[in-house]
Amino acid sequence: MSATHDLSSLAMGRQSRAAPVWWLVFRREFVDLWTGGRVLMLLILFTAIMSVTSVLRELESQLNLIPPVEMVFLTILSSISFGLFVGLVIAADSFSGERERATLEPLLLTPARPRQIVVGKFLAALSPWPVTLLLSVPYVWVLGQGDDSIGNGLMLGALLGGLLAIAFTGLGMAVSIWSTSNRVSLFTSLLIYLVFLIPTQFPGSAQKGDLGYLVQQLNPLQASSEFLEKVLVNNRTVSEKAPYLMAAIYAAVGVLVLLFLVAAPRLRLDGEAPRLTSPGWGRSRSARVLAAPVLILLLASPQAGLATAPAMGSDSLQVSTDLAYKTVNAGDTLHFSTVVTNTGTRPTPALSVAMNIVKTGQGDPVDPEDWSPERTQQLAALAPGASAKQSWTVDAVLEGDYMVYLTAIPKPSGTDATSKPVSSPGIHLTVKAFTESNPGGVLPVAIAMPLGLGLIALVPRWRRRRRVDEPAVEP
Amino acid sequence: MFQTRDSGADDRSQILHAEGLRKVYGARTALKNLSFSLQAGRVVGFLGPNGAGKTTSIRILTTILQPSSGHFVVDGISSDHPEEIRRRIGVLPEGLGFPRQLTGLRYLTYYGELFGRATAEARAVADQLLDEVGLKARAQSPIGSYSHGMRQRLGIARALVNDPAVVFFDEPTLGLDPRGQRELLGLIQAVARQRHKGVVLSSHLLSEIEGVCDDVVIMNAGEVVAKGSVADVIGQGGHDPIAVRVRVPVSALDTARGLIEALPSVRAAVPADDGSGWLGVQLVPENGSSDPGPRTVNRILETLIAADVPIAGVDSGANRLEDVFLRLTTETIQ
Amino acid sequence: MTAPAASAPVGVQTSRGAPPVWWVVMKQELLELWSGGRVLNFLVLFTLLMSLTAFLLATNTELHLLDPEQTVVVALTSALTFGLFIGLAIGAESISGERERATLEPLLLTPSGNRQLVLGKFLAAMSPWPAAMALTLPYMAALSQGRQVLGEAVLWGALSGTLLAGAFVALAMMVSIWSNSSRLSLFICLLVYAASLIPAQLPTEFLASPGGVLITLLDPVESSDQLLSKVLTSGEPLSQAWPYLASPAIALALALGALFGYAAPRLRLTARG
Repeated sequence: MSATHDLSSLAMGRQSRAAPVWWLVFRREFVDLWTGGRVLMLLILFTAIMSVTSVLRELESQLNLIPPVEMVFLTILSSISFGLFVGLVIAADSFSGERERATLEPLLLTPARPRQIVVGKFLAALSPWPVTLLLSVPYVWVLGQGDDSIGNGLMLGALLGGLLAIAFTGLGMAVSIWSTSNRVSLFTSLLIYLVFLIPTQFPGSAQKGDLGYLVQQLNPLQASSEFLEKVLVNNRTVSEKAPYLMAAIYAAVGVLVLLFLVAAPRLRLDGEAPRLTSPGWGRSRSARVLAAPVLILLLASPQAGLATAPAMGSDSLQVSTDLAYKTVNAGDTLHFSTVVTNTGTRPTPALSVAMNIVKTGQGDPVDPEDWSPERTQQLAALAPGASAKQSWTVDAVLEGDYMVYLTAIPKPSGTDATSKPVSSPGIHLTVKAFTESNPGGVLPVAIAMPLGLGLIALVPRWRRRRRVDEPAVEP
Repeated sequence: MFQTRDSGADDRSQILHAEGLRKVYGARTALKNLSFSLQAGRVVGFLGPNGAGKTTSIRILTTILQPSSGHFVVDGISSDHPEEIRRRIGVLPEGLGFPRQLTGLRYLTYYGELFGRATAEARAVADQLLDEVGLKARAQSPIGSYSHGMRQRLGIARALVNDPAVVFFDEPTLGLDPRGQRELLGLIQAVARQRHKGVVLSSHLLSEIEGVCDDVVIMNAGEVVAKGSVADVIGQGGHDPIAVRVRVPVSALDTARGLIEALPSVRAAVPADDGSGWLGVQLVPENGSSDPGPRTVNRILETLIAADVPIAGVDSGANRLEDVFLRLTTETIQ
Repeated sequence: MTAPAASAPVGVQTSRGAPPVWWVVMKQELLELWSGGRVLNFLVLFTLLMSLTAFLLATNTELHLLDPEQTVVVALTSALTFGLFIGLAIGAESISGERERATLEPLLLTPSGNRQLVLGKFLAAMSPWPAAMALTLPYMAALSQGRQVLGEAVLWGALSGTLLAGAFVALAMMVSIWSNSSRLSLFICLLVYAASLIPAQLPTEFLASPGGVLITLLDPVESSDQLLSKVLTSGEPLSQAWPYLASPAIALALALGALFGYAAPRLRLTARG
């Protein structure tokens, strides 16, 4: 006995309005990610790493006291860095994983546009980010010891982290769209992440100068770290440090453009990168330019201004220097001396003489640790008319225009008293951006090695392609 | 020169004997009690729906899985010596993957070396096997360029690389077109007949089993529900076998049934449950046989034609094993 | 299609000229790793990272922020860090990858013991390390600026690097044996790897304390870094710095013991089989 079915209700023309594709994809992905346990495992990992680094940081703080606001900054930075990793891993699996599990094809066979599918997956891959931020709050609170900067820090962290999460998640997803296997996708994404991360970890903060600043701004991780530190710890204003914030914004926008306008329409079943682009997809300019401070070689013989600068002082103290101005090359060492004289009628209290170096133009302030091994000297009390000489050393690390000055600080008599510091005349220090495009002769090696090996690595590919994909015809 | 060991078995000696094999995963019993024997030169078919325990059985017999209890013997070697057993068996597992970049020749040579052949010998054997399975022309092509059928043939070659006593094929024709299926089954049969190997063929395709196998083990839900030669198993059906099937339009089913059952040699005409219009005709046994002669079929058809009943199809009992299978597996479920 | 020829003999016993199974497996794996291009791709990335690192280091040296001995040590430890990653990645995929590609079963069906299989794969997975070390030489030569530190650096770097590479590859393979997916095994290996890099973040003062020394000795990566630093930069003799060499050596011994003594015999078709 056969039954006839009324199929008219199933006819396409009479479908009720369906939810948009991106929402359907997002919902499914979201449920898969969270109920499948993958995200939870990553978040557990995240908290484990946060716990370990928090303990280490606290340990370090016990040895070299780290101010609470700096703890807040460091903790938020860790949270952002590790949180990015979670989104990156999920995004890197988003399409290449479906390819390997053979579940991509049915998705592509729906009438949905690939872009809609990518939007849904992208939003789902972003979903762990707010959770990582939330999980960071207890760590920030405890390490920040309830400092006032916590609220501000979390807000800035949310902003920067959100932008970076968009950038790195989008990047991971674009790589996934173009990767033939999950393994390749994951490795490439991790490598890109490392390339952005490495310069921030390097010993020696000398990669500065005008081009150095540019390079820093091109690396959204580094730029965001700078922005956060300057605004949170050094009390700079957002508008002053806006260029660093813009780096994160540009990165996010750039990646979104890449993902939705370039990668998504080219989503294919087989995942081969389009041949139009050069091999090794995505010439991320940041990745290439990052660590190469291209400085200009200048041969300028330093002119030492040896005139003794006039002493400046207040009622009873004078600080004089034996140098008024000097031009040096980056990497040179400058020696000079100061004389502190008690011009008053009474003995001075014990004195501290502190060196300060300030950049006169735009750019990062000087980190004194890099510039001088000894920036403070202690003097015993000076009798009336007595003077004491101090010798100073400055390593000219960064190119730029600086003012070096010394301040004599009389020790206050008690907790209810204060004193008046006395400054020396400034020593105008001009540091030339000494660049060698080939520092230490390493450039030929640095270029030849990857190039040569890259050419060798092309050989197996070329051989495979030459063994033309023969048609799979039965003999 | 590689050494081989003559098993000393005659054509009808048992090459594989399994007794009481059982496999339990926690609370679930995947295999309840598998016992059977196989002789050299014969093909035994493992038949059953998905999840019946066929692959579990094969994995136990090929030493990939340890049974929870029971034992088996392959070519005189007990299951306590899995490495020795692996020397004597060849396997084409279900869904086998192949390294895409290797050539077929290199792939077989590699496995020959793994089985203890010197490189030159392994290569010579690989050459020969590729020729036998019809892949000689593509020996130097990467496996990634092979079709599915070619890969299955390569898999058969690999299963023979150590000249085994027993060869296991787990769902070998999955994904092949009808021509490919037929060719592959021909190869499998030749392995048994011409190489005098014992062959275990696992499949859920009844047509495969019936056309190729000498013996059959029907499994369902981890249990053996019937075993023996194909003829014996069909006889174990317990019901009068359907001798011939005729298909008529559903509207004419009752009419056709009445006409056919009126014929003297017909015991009953049973309509199929699925409402497809097939009528299974059971004959009165003559001389102990229910096989329809061509005249019986003619009489049935002539009767229907005379009554102007449209005939949509005739099937002369080729699905007898199917009947048994469906009946046994349905009963077991119930 | 010709019918298979009848043949009376059954089964194959190992012939006299046949190489051992671990050698056969290693040869095949090497072929797949190298001619397939996978290792070369890794090494290209390795050289990119090394070029980046070397350029930064050279700039710092020019600016007198680091002296050449320190620079060479940093370059060497960077090479170790990147090079380990390659071995880890290959090892993590060695068994679980075969599972995913459905090519493990035929390997398990050969009569060879699993140990031989694992040994062949282990040796193949170690092969990128000497290549990475060789690729590091030009960088170190350029950075050392003719100082005598180069020869010693090569020696100690090769020694500690080999110990570390062996330990990490063995660890990665063990994880792979018990993972059904390469992604999972790689993830776990990355975790362990990241954990081994954590002690380097500890403050120097803490590392000098008894607790810090203990943590350093327990972490073979940090131990190797300390060894290189002490021997190459501070000029300490081996008689003083030997515990920092012993740590990676012990790690290697333990990892190999666990891999071949415990994990390999338990290699199954599925990780939970």
